[in-house]
Amino acid sequence: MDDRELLQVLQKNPENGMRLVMKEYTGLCYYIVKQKLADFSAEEIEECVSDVFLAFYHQYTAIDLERGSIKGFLAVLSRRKAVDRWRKLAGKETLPLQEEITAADTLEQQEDRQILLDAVRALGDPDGKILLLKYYFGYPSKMIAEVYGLQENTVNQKIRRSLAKVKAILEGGVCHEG
Amino acid sequence: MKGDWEEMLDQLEEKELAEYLPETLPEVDEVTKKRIEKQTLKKMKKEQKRFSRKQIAVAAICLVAVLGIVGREPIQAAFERLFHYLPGAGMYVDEEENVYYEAEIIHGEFTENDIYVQLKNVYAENHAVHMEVVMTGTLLELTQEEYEDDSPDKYDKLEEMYALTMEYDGEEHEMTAPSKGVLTEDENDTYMITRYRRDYQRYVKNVEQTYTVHIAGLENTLSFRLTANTGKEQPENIGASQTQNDITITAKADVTDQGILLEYYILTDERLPDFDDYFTFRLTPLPYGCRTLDSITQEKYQDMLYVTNKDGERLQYKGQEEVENGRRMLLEGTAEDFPITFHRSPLTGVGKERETVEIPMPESIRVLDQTVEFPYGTVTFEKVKGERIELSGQNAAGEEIVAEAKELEITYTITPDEGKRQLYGVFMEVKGSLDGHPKQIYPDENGKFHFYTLVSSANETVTLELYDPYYWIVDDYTLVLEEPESVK
Repeated sequence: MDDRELLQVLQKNPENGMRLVMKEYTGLCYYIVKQKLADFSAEEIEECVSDVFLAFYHQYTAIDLERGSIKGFLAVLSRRKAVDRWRKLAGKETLPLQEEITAADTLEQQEDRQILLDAVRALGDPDGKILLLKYYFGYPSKMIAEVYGLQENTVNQKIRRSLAKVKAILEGGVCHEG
Repeated sequence: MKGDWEEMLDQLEEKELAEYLPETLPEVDEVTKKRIEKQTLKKMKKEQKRFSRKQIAVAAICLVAVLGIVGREPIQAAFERLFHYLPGAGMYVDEEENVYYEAEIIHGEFTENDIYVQLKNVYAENHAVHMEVVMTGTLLELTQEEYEDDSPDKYDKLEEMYALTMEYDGEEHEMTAPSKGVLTEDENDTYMITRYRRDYQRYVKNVEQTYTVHIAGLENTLSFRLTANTGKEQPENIGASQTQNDITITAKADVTDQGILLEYYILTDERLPDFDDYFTFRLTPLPYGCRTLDSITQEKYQDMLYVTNKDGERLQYKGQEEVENGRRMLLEGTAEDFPITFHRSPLTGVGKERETVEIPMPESIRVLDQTVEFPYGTVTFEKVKGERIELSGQNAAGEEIVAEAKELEITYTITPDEGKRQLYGVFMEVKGSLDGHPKQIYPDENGKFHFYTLVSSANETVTLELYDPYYWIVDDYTLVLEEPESVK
C-alpha cells in the first residue's frame, strides 16, 4: 500500500489506518527513539514510540506527499519526540513538539544544519548514509552491515572514521584521510 | 563535540533527511510491536471519548450537509466522467510562462473480463504528460505468504500481467509507473488484489497529439488528446465575477446532458480553510453570525453556497468536485433555467499570527484580565479554574502507575473588530500540556469559550500559544450567469 492509499484509509477509518501505519513503521520509530533514549528503560522507549504514533494521528493531515512521505514525517516526529522525552527525563527544559516543528528556524540553526549536511555529504556514498543510519535512525551496526553487504567490523570502522571527519569539519578544520 | 553534533542532528528537517531515509526498514519483535500498538490505540480511544456531545452534533450537521451535496453513487460516477479536465484550472495564472495542456478524453474507461479500467488525471505541463490508470476487479490471487509478507514480487507479477504501453509519435512506447498502489482483499482465506493504480509521467516533445493506451491481456484501449490551453480560462476571464474586500469570485456554467455544470474560483492572497487541506479536519467554517453551536442549523449551512434559477428556485446538487482555488458543481437543470444566480455567503479566512500569553496557575480559581490583540478582534481571558487530579494508568510493563496533574478550564471571550473582517475563533495550545491536540472551540450560549487542558501541577504559570485566528470576511457574493457558456 503506498502513502496516498494509507492516508485515504486513515481518513476513512483512523483506527485501521493507524494499525497499518504501526505495522509498517514501528521498527523505524523504535530504533530512532532508542538511539536517543539509550540510557533509559525499555518502558520509556515504548511509551515514547506510542507518543510518536499518537502525534502522527493528530498531525497526519499536514503531510504533503508532493514534498515528503509518511516515512520521513515519522522519522522527524520520532527524533523530536525522543529529544523532548530525553529533556524531560534528564531534567532539562522541555518544549512541546508542535512548537518545535512549527517554530521558524533561526538563521544560525539553518546554517548549522547546512554545515552538518555538507559535512555528511562530503563523506560520499555510502559512508554518509551509514553515519545517518547509525546516529539518526539508530540502526545497530549488524543491521547496517546486512543492508550494505559488509562485515560488521568494517561498518564500525567506517562509522568511527566518518564521525571523526564530520567532527573535524564541524570544528572548522580541514579533513585529511587518516 | 558529540553533544553538538547530536543536537545538530536533532534539528534536521524532513526535506533534509529525505536523501538519507533508509530503504530497508528495521523490525522489532512482535511482542514489543503489539504492546506499542495497544498503548497507542488506548491513548487514541481515550482522546476520542473527550469529544463533547456538542462537537459531535456539529460534526453530524456538517456530514448531513456534505452527504446532501455529494449524494448517490451512480450520479457521482457519472459526474466523475465529466471531469477529465486539467486539475487546478484556477491556477492558470503563470508568471513563468509554463504551457499547460488540457486533455480531451476520447475513451476514458472500459470493462473487459470483469475488469474495469479507468483513465484519470490526464494533463500535461510543458513537456511532461501526466496520467493515472486504475484497474478494478479480480486482478491477481496471492498466496497467504505473499499477502502477509507484503511481497514486492506482487508488483512485478502485476506489471508482467498488465504491462502498459502508450502509442504516440506514431510508435508504441513501454511505460513504467514511478508511483503505484494496490488494494488487497482477504476473504475466506483467499487473498486477491482487486485494485491496481499506476501514475505515469512521460516526457513528450510534441505534446499536442492523440495518445492511445494499451494494457496487456486486454483488447480495449484508452485514448485522449492533449491541446495547449490558450489561456481562455484565466480565472478573470472565466465568466461573471465580483470583487469585494480584495477577494474576487468568478464563475461560469454550461449545460451538459447530465445537468448544469458550474465552476467557480476564489482569487485571494488570504488563507481560506475551504481550499486548504491543512484545515480540512481542523476547522469548520461557520455560517456568518453563528457564534454558538445552538445557532447552527442545516439550513444555515446550505445557505452558505447555493444556486438559483431564473424563477429564484434553488437548483439541486448532483455532485461536486474540488479544484484548486475553487469547485465544480453539477446541478439539476437545463438551458431553460438561465439566467442562474450563484450565491455565496461570507467567507472564512485564517490569519498567520501567533501570540503567546502567560497566565498564573490557580490554586482553585483565579480571575484574569489579560487580552491578546489580533488584526480583526481581541481575545480576553476572564478566569482560570484548576482542579487537582490523579492520573492513573499502566506503564509498558503493565504496572499500575499514578501521577498528579491539574486540569485547567480557561474561560475567554472574543470581541470582533468593527469592519469587514471579524474574528470569531482562535486555536490554542498550552506549552508542556499533558494531553490532547488543538481543537476548534465553540462558545457557550453566553458567548464564553472554555478551553480545557491538563498540565503538571508543578507548573507555576501556564503559557498559552494562540494561533490560526479565523475570521469572517463580511460580504455576500451574488453572480448572475446570463446564459450557458456554449451559447456564448
